Amino acid sequence: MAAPTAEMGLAEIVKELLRLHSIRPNWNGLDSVPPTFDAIGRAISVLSALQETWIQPTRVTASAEGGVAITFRRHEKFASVESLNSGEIVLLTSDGTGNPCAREVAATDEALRKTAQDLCEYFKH
Amino acid sequence: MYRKSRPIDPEFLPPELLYYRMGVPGTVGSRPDGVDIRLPEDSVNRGKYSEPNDVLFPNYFHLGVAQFPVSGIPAPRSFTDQLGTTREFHLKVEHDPWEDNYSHSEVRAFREGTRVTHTSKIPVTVKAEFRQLIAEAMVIRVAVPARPL
Repeated sequence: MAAPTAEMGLAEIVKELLRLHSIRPNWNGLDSVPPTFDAIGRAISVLSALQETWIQPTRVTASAEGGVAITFRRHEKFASVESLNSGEIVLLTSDGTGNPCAREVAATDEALRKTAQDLCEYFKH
Repeated sequence: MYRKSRPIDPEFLPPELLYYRMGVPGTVGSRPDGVDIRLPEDSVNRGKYSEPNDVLFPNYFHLGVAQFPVSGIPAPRSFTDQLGTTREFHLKVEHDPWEDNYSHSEVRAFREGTRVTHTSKIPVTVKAEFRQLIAEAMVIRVAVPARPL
């Protein structure tokens, strides 16, 4: 349940996120539920915060946990922002060496802006 | 694939492959870019008793298959909550045969050695890190068919 977004602009990615709302329940055989509009809305807020320092997402996908994930990759560096139906937003970064690092992000403008800056810094180095 | 009264086989050797049904696009032989594993428990088929495609039966042929060895199950991770309490979480694969799928097994989560059965009992950050570590141990064995969702 994932769409590659390498060539997409913000509007098309938002459209893909909204499309995930209509996936059927149990789409993966694990009783997973479709993402809620709230979860999708928070993911769109993340993208909106990224606008200034745009980092092209590689994929948007439904989450087996219930929610959506936006993923990013530059060479060995990987990051994802997951917006869960339960309300949490989780930023995860990993350089593929077995030491991923995840942290919760508050759904406030300030926290999302900081997350965008952190992502930008992560991919810069 | 049928169980046919066979007993649970609790022995998983580190190189045994586990097959996982997933929706992440990618080419055969590549590493999937993140996977949608559900914790505290998720289903896999064990390679000792099945073929990769078996995990798509009976009606998941719109998905692909990734494989990872038992040794790819992540090491335990600790989490300290806001009250300063530190707990250890670990994952383990256990054989859980079904009548129509003897190879069925589950990757299960444990907190301080006790099995977790509710998702809220594992911090979302620990789940995210476990998922990523399993994804990094995976290789795509059957690609997701290229067609609209």
